[in-house]
Amino acid sequence: MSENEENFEALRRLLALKRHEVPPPGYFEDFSGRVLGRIRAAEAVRELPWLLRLLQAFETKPAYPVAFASALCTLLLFGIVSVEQSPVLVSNPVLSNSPDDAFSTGPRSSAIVVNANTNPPVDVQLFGSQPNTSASFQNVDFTSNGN
Amino acid sequence: MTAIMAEPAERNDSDASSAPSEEMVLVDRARHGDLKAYDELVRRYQERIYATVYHMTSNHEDANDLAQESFVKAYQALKSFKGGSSFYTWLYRIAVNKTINFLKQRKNRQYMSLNDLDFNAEHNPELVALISEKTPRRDAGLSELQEKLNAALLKLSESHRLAVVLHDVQGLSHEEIAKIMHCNIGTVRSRLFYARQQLQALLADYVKAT
Repeated sequence: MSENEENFEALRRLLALKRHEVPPPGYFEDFSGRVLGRIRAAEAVRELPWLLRLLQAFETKPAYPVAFASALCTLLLFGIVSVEQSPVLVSNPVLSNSPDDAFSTGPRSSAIVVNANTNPPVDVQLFGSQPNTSASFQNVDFTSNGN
Repeated sequence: MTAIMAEPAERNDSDASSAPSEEMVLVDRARHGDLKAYDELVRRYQERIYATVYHMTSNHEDANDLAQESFVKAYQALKSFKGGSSFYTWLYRIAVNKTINFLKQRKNRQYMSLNDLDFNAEHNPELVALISEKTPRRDAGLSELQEKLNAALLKLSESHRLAVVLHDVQGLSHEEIAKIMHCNIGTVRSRLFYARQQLQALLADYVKAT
């Protein structure tokens, strides 16, 4: 290895130039002060409540609020789409046609589709028209028969 | 401020061995939140840590950030420092890992913002002889040589560059480098050999002149 060292002596002398590269004048005078400042800042952040720490992270790193907003929008869209598209199926054995169905363990033949819409149903016939009832009406004659 | 950033290893060794207990006292105080003690430790090693990071990155701004971050991280990790190695080796390891991670991310945007050469460089007889042969204008020649040297170093892999910087620029021993790089001495020697071979090829004009 000593022979190798001799072979590279010229290179080593050239590399010694690197030792003459110095930072701007006075750079090290305040170096430790800057390090301690960063340590104190990091400790101050650690002592904050989690909500403030989160807000501070939002302030310092712009990618965080963007990611948070994107996640929120995606969640909202997913919620809207899933509510619109997927009906809730509720089987009701009591309302099934066959009495056997009420006790069968297999797949229900009858099911009620319940609309997941939370708006109250509005009967348009309530206003300005007669209620539609399936009961049969009997005409009652209040006129006297001549009795 | 010292004119030359990194002194040879002989001085580092004596520093480390002369007052290890005193250093451990400072480490222990810093571990318990004494920032004054940590300030003392930072002042002790700031130039060497900065120099290592700077020679690895060839960029003052990056070296500034990385050196400060290394000291901050070391303070936060002091509780995990068991004293198996010297504080100096442990601190070096943090700085080196941080720098290598940074260089891996920076791979596609290598640029230099070289530090100025100090006054002594112009009066170094070896460098003066080298530059006089190459160019009549000494200061311009030195800057050009500095740029070529750093460009050549940046062409080496991180591990090879680190071996050269720690040994030939910083003057650390093979044993110390092995501890810092987490490898055996044979690996350090082989990395050093191949790194020097590459550098010699890249700087053929200047090396022949000496």
